Amino acid sequence: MDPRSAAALSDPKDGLESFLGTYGPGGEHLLDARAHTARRLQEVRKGLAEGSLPSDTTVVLFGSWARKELTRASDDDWAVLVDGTAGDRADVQQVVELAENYLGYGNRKPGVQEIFGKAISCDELVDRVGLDEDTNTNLTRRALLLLESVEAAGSVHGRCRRRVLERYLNYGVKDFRPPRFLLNDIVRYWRTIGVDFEGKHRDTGGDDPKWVERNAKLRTARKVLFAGGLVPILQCHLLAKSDMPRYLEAQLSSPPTDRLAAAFVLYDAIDEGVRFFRAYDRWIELMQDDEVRAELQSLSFESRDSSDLFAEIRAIGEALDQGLIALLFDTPLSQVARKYAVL
Amino acid sequence: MVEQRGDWEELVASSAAVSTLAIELSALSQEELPDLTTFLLRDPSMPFHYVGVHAPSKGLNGDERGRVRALTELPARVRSIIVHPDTMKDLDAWSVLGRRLVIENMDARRPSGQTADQLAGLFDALPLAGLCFDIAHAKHVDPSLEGGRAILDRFSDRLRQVHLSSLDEDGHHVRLTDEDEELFTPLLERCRDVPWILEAPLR
Repeated sequence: MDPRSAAALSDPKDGLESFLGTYGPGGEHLLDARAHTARRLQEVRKGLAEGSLPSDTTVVLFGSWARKELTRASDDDWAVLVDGTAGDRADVQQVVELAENYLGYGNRKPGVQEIFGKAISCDELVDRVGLDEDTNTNLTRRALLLLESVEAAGSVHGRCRRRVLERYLNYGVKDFRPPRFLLNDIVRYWRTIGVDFEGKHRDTGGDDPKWVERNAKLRTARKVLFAGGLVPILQCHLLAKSDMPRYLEAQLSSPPTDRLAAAFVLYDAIDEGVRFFRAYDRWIELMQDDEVRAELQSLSFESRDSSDLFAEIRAIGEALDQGLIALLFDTPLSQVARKYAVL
Repeated sequence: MVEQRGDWEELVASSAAVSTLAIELSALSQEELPDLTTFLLRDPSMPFHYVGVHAPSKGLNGDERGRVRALTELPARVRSIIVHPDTMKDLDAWSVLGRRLVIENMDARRPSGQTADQLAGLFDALPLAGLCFDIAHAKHVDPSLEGGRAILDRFSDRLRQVHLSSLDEDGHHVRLTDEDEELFTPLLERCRDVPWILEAPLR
């Protein structure tokens, strides 16, 4: 049994800084990225503040912005989120144009799949969960709003995230059990990323120029993102259902690395956490290096196995796996992880 | 596995029968390394997630740079190259192995690399290197294991793998004894995420 209690759960805010400060040394690239993200976020917020937003509208940043892992080469994954239905409202379109002035210029455009860089209706995220109408795009937006999003302008981001959380937590949730509906959807999102990765490979006739880069991100940042959602959901087994919304909101308000750092401490897996963050710090260091990114982009499915860089990224991914497996299956979290995360 | 020495396919099969997670292939004698490298460059089908190679520590000729150069020929699937500190004189030469270089703490019979302070000099010179924590060696140096604890306290972030066994009176690796299992447990609980390489059969 997990001997911990709800009292042991704490707000993970600045959990990474606290972990590295206590159990360091190391993590300087993660901390550099956090400082860089904070500076850039301040700049963007200042720019966006020059415009006016409808009261039900907010500009949200996703991905490395929300993970606080921004590099010079990161995409600007942004969206205008409407607490209701965006439709073709002219005032919402004006916010989109405002955001385009400050985000996504040059090679920082959001991905080509049109998941971001436009208006999103919170109603669709809340009302279309599961079945055919819950498209991959909708699932991705909803999962990332929960797992890695930060507000750049406006004030309804928190409310929208709460609405999405309530969709999962409003019924069927039991005291001292992980909320299964939410858990299943987060696991579904993670597995969907993996399956879609293969779909993209097929669509390019096996010659996807981004195969290696995508694969590297699956092994690292995407995995950390998933684990940073999975662990707090599993930790709900320490809570009465009435306490889960507030707890999950606090968790999701911090980046995944804060949540995981707090979990490594809570479950007394300090050494494993130290190695986990050393490996992830190295990944961030690689992504901060323009030459490394260029080399990664030059690799193909065929050439990757002879690459020292890709071998190192594989090793980083293995180290992250090992740390997470230790956290999930070699600590008191294992009982709930085995029951809920596997079956 | 002494009788299988040099028969890499047989050694791989024997290891896989114990665990498919990790293997460390040992070219303990320098003359064994070319054959092991050739075997690995053929990209044999192996089930292991983690492949390490123990660098030669016996029968060494004087050409340290040549020895390191030979180790660089090992294919990328070899995650770690485990090296005894007392075989490293020209530290600059070893830097070419980068993050694949993994330094093992030594037993009391060796002249260096036994304690955290001694290892610190190596890691200062080779900042990318990892640690192979040989817990039996740590006990050989300090039966209380305080020295082993100090190694983990100082270099836990570098830990890549553990060597697990007991030692006999002559310092040879033998089956883990019940006493050592109990003694080692607190430190091994700090190493749950890395491969444990058994240096003697468990039973």
